[in-house]
Amino acid sequence: MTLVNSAATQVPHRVSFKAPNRLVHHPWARFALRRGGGFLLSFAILVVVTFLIVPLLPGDPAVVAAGEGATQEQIAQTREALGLEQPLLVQFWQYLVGIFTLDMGYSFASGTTVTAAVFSRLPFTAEIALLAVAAMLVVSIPLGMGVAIVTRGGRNAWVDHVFNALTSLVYAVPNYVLATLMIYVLAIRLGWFPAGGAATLDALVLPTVAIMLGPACVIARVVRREAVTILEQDYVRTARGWRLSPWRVNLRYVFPNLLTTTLTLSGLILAGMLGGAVVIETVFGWPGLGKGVVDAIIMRDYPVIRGIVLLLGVLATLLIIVVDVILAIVDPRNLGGSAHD
Amino acid sequence: MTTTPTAAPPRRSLPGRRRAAGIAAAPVALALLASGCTTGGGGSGAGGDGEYSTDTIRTAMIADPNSFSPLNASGVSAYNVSSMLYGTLLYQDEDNTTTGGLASEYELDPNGGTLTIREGATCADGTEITPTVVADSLQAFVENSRQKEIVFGPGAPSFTPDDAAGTLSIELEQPWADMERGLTLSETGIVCPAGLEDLEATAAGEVEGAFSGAYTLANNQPGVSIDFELREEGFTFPEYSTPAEGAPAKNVNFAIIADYNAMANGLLTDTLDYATLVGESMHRVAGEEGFETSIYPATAMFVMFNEREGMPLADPEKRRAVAQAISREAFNDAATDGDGEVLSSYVPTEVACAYTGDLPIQQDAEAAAEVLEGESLKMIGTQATGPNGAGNSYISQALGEAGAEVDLRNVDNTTWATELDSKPEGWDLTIMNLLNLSRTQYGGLSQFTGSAPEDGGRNSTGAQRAEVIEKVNEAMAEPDEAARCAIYEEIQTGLLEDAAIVPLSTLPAQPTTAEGFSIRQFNGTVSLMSMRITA
Repeated sequence: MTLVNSAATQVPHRVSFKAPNRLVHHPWARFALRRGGGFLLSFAILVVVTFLIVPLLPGDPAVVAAGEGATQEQIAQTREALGLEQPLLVQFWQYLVGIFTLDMGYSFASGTTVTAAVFSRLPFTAEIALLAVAAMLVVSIPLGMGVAIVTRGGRNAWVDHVFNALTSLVYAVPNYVLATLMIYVLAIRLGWFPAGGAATLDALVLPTVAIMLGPACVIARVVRREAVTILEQDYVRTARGWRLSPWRVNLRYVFPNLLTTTLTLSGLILAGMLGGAVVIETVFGWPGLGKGVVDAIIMRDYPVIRGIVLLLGVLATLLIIVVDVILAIVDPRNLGGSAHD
Repeated sequence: MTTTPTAAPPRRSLPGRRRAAGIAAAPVALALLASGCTTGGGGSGAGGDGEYSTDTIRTAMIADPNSFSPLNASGVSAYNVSSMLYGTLLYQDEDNTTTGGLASEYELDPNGGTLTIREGATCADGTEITPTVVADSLQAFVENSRQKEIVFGPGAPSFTPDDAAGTLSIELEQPWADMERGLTLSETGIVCPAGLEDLEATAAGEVEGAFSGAYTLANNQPGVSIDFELREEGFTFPEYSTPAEGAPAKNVNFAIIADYNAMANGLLTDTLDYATLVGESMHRVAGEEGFETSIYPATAMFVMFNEREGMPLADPEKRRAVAQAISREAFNDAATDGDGEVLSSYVPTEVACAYTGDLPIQQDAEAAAEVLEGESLKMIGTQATGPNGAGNSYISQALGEAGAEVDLRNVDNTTWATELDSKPEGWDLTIMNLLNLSRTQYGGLSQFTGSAPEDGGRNSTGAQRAEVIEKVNEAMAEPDEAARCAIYEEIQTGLLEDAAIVPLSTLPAQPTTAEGFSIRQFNGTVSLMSMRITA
């Protein structure tokens, strides 16, 4: 038994109920059922909400779809062609069929299929969000752990003060301000990176840094706080008593116990980045989904709004499930309930 | 022609950048793989043709085009795309003249005329562009395009091709002197037979054989980029009176960038070679070393009134009072930071026959107050009229100072367009921010004369102004330009005296090219066909 497990035994396992069916009784099966049910419920809500976007937003979609300079007659023809005069229930049924056949119609703005309009942006969003989260973890975990180790037991209090001040400062600066500063200094003045666009690999650097700095500060502070607590645990003291090297103690017995909180937060941050990087995407001219949905809202491109919101919702829900699965693998106690519960 | 040696170094090759990026990207290679590795090389310094440092122009457009077919193009992006992919019979040239495109020779008058189709012109699939091909495309334009009336007037034109002689005759049902200018519009681009067979696929850009222009569509990623490739043969560039210097690009890559400041950043950091900037972003590159800029009026702004029966501003005295309350200079400061040009008409000064004299109704705050005191007015405006609708706010404030109680609604473009025509009871005045790419008098007039939207027209004011329509018809039948301009001047001064509109200012745009590239504008519109690599 490892020391991690010995620590785990200090917390009682959740009570498990006996079920007549063995499969359902299996913790992973129950986990899958619970998460699957949650996903279906979220998906159903998403479908209803995205459907209601069109009738609830002001402005006539037919005016947009008919284009500039269309006469009232042409707008009426467009409205009929789009099926906007049919009863809501009929429209909803057609919407449902479209979702399950991946035929969600055409973008009013670009005339391309919604599937093409949405999936052309998805790789850019995935690229920057995954890169930002990876960079965030690479920076924040060592930083938070390092500060906790260096300041353990009240030593080197000044490091703690500097760390707190710096992370607070960076987190407090809005990311668009950071982005603008980086563009001015690193792109325009020094010419080290392009200021935007997505044509070259180095164009990824500035938006990634701009988007990850704030969350990295949060994660670093959480890691530091968690690490301080873990470093005072009996099993860590025992490991030190065995004369294990500090590296081994920290990597083998401290680091794994930080993962639950860190991964949970990172999953939520990643889900937020998928659709929430609008400002950064705007500043850097990055063709992601966040900017896509805002542009679609401005242009009343309803089919694309529906497509992107639905996709982002599904992706966020799936991400949280993936994080739960990872957490359950890392620590099977999480099978009893999500870290998000 | 300016040339550089073959061995000229590529523009700003920065290996250090890529190394740094590579190091940063290494830990997340999986993420890149998972996302399909969207980024790639290209752009700066890519493959010279031996004469210039590059064969590619990297530029940007503000939004996706609504269509890849000129027949249903709507908005600047679609016009740009059409002009790349489809050749027009004529092109605009200096001093409001036209020059040949797919038509090598032409004789036109207000009643029609004859055009000789250029020998050797072919579609992208090799089909010869004959007079019949052109006639079929123009007929499809008449049947499908919303610009039909701007080009051919209200009647039905007839097209008679003579393939043996290589000519196309056009006969108009009603004289329309604007036809010559109309045939330069990118919406009249010739769609080849393969495109006419499947209009839906053509609109999606999926029919390569549809293209008759200098470029073909190489790649389209909605919301991301559109790339064009120069054809090898069978195309023509406009024969400008002053030929364009430099070489046309073999590849033109448009990034979709929905923010003008991001475009300016792209120019300043060498990721774009050309972009048209609007608003404060113009000042960021104007005067900077290594850039060439010019200004053109992107739109003309003027106050338009709801003159339907029972509406307060159906009363000409009240409209005149509104005109007296407004300072065009103050509006220009609010809406364009003073960068626009104060107007005396509903069209910019670059448009043929534009009135540029003094306004018959001058600003007179006291006289305005006598009429407007206590008047309740509903104003609707788009947020695009200056930063966050600042132009609307100025007009509202000016009327408020004259004693009117103004209920201003600053809304987005779609809501504005919807409510202007479908809720005529909901507004009394608005600011029209008119694109008018045809750069014709009629392009402006059709917004506030003729049939109302409820009767199938475009005139949102509800006042038909039959006398103006009569004079327009008279002007359209007049072959002599000076005489035509005299009629248009009469029309403009008459409308100004009646306060049918109140001219405000232009919204300027700034085509900006980096060193080594050039583009030209004619009569207040930028011509993508004049885009060249010069070094």
